[in-house]
Amino acid sequence: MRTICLIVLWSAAVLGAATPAPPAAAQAYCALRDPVHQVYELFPKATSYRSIIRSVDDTHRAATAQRLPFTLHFNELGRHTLYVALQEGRPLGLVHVRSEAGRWGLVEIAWGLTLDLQVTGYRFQRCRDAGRDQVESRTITQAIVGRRFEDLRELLDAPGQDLAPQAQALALGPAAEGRRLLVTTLRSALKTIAVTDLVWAADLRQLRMIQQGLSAFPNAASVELVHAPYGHNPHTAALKMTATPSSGIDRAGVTALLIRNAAGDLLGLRFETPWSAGGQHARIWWTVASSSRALIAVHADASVQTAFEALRGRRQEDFGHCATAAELAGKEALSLANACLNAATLPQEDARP
Amino acid sequence: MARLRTFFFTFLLPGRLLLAAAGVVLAGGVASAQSTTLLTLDTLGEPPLTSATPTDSAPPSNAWTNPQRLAPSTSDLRVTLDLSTRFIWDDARGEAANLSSVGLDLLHVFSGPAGDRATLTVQGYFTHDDTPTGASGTGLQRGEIFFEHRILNLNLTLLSRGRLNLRVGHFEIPHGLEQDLNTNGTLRQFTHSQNLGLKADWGASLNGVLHGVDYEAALTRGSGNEWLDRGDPWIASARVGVQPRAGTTLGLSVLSGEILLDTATVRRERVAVDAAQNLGPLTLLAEASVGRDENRDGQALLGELNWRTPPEDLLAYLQYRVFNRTLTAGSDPLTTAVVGARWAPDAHWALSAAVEIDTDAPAGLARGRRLVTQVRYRF
Repeated sequence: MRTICLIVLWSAAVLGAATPAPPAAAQAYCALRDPVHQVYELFPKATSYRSIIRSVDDTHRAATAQRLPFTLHFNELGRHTLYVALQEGRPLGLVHVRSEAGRWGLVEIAWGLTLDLQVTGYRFQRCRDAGRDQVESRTITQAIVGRRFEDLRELLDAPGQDLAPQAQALALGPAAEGRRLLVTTLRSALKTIAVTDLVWAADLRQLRMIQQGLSAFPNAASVELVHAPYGHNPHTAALKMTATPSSGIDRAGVTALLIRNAAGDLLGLRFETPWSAGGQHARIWWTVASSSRALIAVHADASVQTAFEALRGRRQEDFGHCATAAELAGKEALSLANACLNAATLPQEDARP
Repeated sequence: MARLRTFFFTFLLPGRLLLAAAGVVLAGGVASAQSTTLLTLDTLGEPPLTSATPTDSAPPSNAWTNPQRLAPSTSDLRVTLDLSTRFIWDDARGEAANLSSVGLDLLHVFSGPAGDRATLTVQGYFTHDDTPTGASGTGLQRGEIFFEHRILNLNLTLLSRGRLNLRVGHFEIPHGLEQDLNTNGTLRQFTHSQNLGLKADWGASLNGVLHGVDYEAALTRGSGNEWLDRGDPWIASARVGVQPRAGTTLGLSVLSGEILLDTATVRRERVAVDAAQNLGPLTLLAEASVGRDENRDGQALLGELNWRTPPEDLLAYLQYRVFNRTLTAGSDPLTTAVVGARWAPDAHWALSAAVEIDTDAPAGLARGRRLVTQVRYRF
């Protein structure tokens, strides 16, 4: 028995060493600690968090290198955790901890992000650098918080090794330590956002839908994704034939969410439509109440917000002759909403194709 | 074969049952209609959504639409095979020894709509222990292969904001530096084994974070890696830790119990303080412990100065340990100086070496001088 076990042990060792291995963790898992302090500091209203563990591998390393002049170190590959801060089950934002080599050792920063990957805050989980106080100062915090990937990238020079000219004002006085740590912090932020976007893309998509759905109605409790809203449902399939083709809505990109309260009653529909007309492209978010069948909220990209905002309060019957491109889109949107709501309120047997 | 059966029933089977049971309890998110998918936080990690596909094909089939789903998604699983071999040259005895292990390191987070519900940590190893002291008290012959539970516990969330969790299973005694700086499977060790007589134990603990203070209070069997009833041992232990400022941590630990050593239980009490301070690339660690073993005083001291490179692939350390082991004859303490280093060139390999020199020893015991090396590979 002993011989067999020894053979198995050493065979596994030799095979393991000779085979290209997937990302692993050099540290035993019992040593892992969740950033509990940081989650609740970055999201004070959070009541709990949800861990999502995913693998960061060579493909993500290569993809990061395409977005940045620097990329992940091989030691940064492996299984990593994204924490979703929750308030009574509703997603508030994300916390992602990443390590960056500092002057005196690894600098571990817990990044607070919105679901759209905008920085909401940051906390040093581990940092030996003397410039920490400066990088945590109000001036620098305000310069980083609220920024997205593209905005943060502008703060670093082309090779990503130093501050860009427009960010020189952030380097406080002669303190080289602070400047060096600020560059490390910005690099960490960029890598964190890039990796989160690449590795957790599917999770973020679902989280955004949940957040959008739950925020659409005050007493929303659950969100259902409507499969193929123009597809196999008899109530919505007809729209494919009848809806005006010139509404500008890209039907292939429509995401529709049914929202219910805790009792399971249908509150309404929230859906997102890519839209283009007259050379303009935008995303429109529509919210239709189940009871009134009226558009209770319409949000659009800033360039067309005013035109679409004017549709708020309308019902399907209010769209007779459409005078504007926004009205054309609104007409189809309400047709779709009514079809989906009708299907959802019918007994399940009737809703089946 | 008997050991394989033991392994199956004590490790694999409980693990599977635990996963299945947890799946029944923790899984949720059942679709409410055929043409829709209920979106909840516990369905994250399932197959990517294809709902907006504007085709007339059937709705995508996935786990959400299957109310029979019993086990939670395995995508939130971390699992690694851990191989290591340790070579020990004891200069005082003029003897070489080795210790090799192969095991599984697994961590799974169970989550639901309200957030994380529990974390399962499993570390089970087959170990070939060919060291002079390794087999003592285990009933095994030197060189025998045995299975050991290093860690096997489930930490359940009881209150929100991390305020209260319940850990059940086999876990490290909450005491001293080890609570923040885990040394499982590494050459670098602190005081647990020599000061307390064991490192991990079976039982339950309450743990969490309250007003910035980390705490864990445990009640455990007192028999170490195996659950043994001999002598009716037990341990009550607790530690609170704070980080008063950046780069500084402080901890206070207490322990009381009847600890099962080789053949009998020993009444042991300890109060310990520990501290860590970062100084640029250096870290100072200290732990001081006082207490009683039966009716004799017992003390332990540990000081460490370590240095690491910026990417932390290389760690070098100097340690000085003092154990006043009153259970052995004589009044002199056992003092040991350690020089060690660990090099981790990538995420798989870790090569470690240490020289341990006993600078003083109780009467009747020879001062040891040991060279220890370890190769570890995780994949």
